[in-house]
Amino acid sequence: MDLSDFIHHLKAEFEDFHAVNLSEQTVLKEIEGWNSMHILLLVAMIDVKYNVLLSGEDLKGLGTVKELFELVKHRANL
Amino acid sequence: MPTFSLEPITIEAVYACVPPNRIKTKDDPLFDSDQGQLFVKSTGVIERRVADAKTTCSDLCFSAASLLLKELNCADDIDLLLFVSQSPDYFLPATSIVLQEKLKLPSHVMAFDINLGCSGYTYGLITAAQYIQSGAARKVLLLVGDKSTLSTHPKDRSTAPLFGDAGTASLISASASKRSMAVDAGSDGKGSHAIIIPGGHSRNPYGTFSSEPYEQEGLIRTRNHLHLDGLAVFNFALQRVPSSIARVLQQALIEMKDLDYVVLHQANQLISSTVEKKMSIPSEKMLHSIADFGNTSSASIPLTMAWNTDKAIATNHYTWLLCGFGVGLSWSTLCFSMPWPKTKLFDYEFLEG
Repeated sequence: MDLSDFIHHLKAEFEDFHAVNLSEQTVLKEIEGWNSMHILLLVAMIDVKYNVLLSGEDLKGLGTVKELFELVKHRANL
Repeated sequence: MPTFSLEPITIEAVYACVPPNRIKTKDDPLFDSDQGQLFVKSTGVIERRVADAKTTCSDLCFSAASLLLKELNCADDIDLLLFVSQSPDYFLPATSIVLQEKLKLPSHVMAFDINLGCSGYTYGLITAAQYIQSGAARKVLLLVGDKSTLSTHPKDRSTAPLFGDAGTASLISASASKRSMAVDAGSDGKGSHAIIIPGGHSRNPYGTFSSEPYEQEGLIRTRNHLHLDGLAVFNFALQRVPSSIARVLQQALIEMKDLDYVVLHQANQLISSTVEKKMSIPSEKMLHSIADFGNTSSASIPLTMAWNTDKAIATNHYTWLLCGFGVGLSWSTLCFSMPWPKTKLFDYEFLEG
């Protein structure tokens, strides 16, 4: 798993929604207009691209893009 | 969880009736422009149909069934009437029995309700198939629908813009096909709170909860309205639907490429497209109706068949996969062969019953 690919997939998913400057330090919840629909799009993308299905519990402490990447990477390697 | 085979059935006809009142997502005052765009991107709902206050789900099903019985002239062959819905006319009696009288079906017709939502159509087909297989019924009139907009709070952005109303009637009979019907079905009550109306029945009778709306995580509703945990439902669907499809294909001894049409419950576009990608289902095999009707709960599979009828070549036999999943949590998946049913989709007009 590659972080730049991960960020590329995120940008592609959220390109319509003010996420053009998204980086590994971006805190997802702080993206303008972030809401539950973004979470569903995020979970779907990660499930399709990485075969990792994240739950509400997993996302409770959602922080930066890098932290999310590490979580997905860890779960993908289990 | 059971995976099994039943003697084949055919759906001779699917008639669907929807309210004439159309609500477009872009005009919904619950959303600003960006939020509306995001809602359409994830749910796929561009427009939906909403019944007026005096029209019930059974009225929509009655209209569909009346026309079906008249045009197919089959009332004398029906031995079982099933009404599958979570918006019945009364707490009691069963709406199916009210409809037996309204439809002027004879008193030897068995009639009962099945209280299921989004998995209801496929469970209705399983029930119909077993009555036919046992010899208890020659033909089954399967009435399936919901008036979900009755349950959603108009200010709840997570439910109100998602659901539409519809009622359907399907005529089910035995099939001469040599291929049996493969079935996979199951239940997961651990998710019972993921889609729930907490108040208004025995556990919390009316009056238990305030009828004043409250706000939770930005959503406004009362406890007598539908509560939907979108992420929990999404996780459920992505865990259960692909595995159920895989099991039913194995039971049917066929592969994905052998299917002609896949009709998933129209929960939202994101679930359908994610299942499509995960299962590598060719997109031309997937039938949809969510863009034009929203999530129509138990009615979504038959409504989708009626809405896509332009794809049909009447004489061809097709291999179908139907999958209902949702409230309960509950799911059932069927794989069988049949021609495209005779279909009709029309707007509701009040009929004297």
